[in-house]
Amino acid sequence: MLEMENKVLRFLARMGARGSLGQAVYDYLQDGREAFVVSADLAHASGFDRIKERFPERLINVGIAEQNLIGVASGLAKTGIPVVATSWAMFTSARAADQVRNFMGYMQSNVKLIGMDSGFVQSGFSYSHTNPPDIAIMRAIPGIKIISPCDGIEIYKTVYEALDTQGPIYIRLTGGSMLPIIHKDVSFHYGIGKAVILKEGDDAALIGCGNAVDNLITTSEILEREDISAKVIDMHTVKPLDIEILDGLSDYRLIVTAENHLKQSGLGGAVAEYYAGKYKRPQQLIFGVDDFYPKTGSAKYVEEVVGLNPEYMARQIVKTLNH
Amino acid sequence: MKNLEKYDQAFIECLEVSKEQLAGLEYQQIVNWDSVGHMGLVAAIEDAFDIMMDTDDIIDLSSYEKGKEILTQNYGIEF
Repeated sequence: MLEMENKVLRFLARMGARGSLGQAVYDYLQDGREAFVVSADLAHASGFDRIKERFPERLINVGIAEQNLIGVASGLAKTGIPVVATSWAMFTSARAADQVRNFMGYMQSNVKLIGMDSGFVQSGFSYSHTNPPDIAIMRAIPGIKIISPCDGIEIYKTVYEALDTQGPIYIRLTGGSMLPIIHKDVSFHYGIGKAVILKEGDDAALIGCGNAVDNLITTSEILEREDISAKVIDMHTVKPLDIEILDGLSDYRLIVTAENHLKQSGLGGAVAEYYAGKYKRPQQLIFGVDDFYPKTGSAKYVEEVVGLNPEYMARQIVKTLNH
Repeated sequence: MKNLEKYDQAFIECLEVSKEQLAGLEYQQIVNWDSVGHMGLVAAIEDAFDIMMDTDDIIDLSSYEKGKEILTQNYGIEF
């Protein structure tokens, strides 16, 4: 494992989402721990070059065959050794959904499935590679944990903890080649299912996952200029949600969820479903992608089109609080 | 610490080389200066000089000497 010093934060930010993934898996093997690594012809893109050089017996390339990726990974997991399996998020979710459902879900295979470049990272490649409904698909499969880390150090800690946790886990990476540094202290406590409060505030609670967390931090800064104090929460684990944190928000007038994902059935949907049965629950604004197909463009362009940019979110929050 | 010392230290720590190996050192010349080592080096240089390097400069940073040239020309760092 990397020495947990604050300079690691910049290193992992520079490595990007997939580089941080590759570094974490490599370091896990370097630590003498066991894992298999399977990829659908994306070993280089997954940051596995050093694994290929130094642990070639642990790395399997199944070729561009994502359904087979899940099958091979699940079969390997029968050895008792955890397996990391990687492909693009649109393929790990939509294309391989049946295999994920049966092998990872129903059979509870000890596979850590990585959906790379989720959200809008590949929006330049048109809609086929944009905004996969990966959280929605994975939520509908019982027994799979879902994690969407927000920065490099969180990706790194997620991978380590996921490999040490028995059972199927889906990890979606929404960042590109340069990540923001959200967690400024490398020693922050990370636990699957344990959200992290990044900032305190009393007027509204902003809950995000993945890349959206950075935008929520900026949103909270805009709100401060309007004398609105907002709590910002990194809900990296979408399933299971941190219900202790959610229960602590029931007195808030407004909670806001934001994700680089459809509004339907993502983090926002999960939070709304949790509160639905509660007698006391805050009003909720859900930011994400509506029921349409955004046009091709950069990730930043798509964020603006779908209303996930901080300026838009802040305006909507002010409007709602002033209503 | 002087700028040259900070620059050298970034190379020595990230790439696990000695000071004597620095002159003429190039990207991919040693095992540790692969793509991963390169990003580690970039992060260390950025930290040392409190700068954010442009993508083009990161790509162009192909040797110990080239790095000094880039930092001087584009970031005003004198050695």
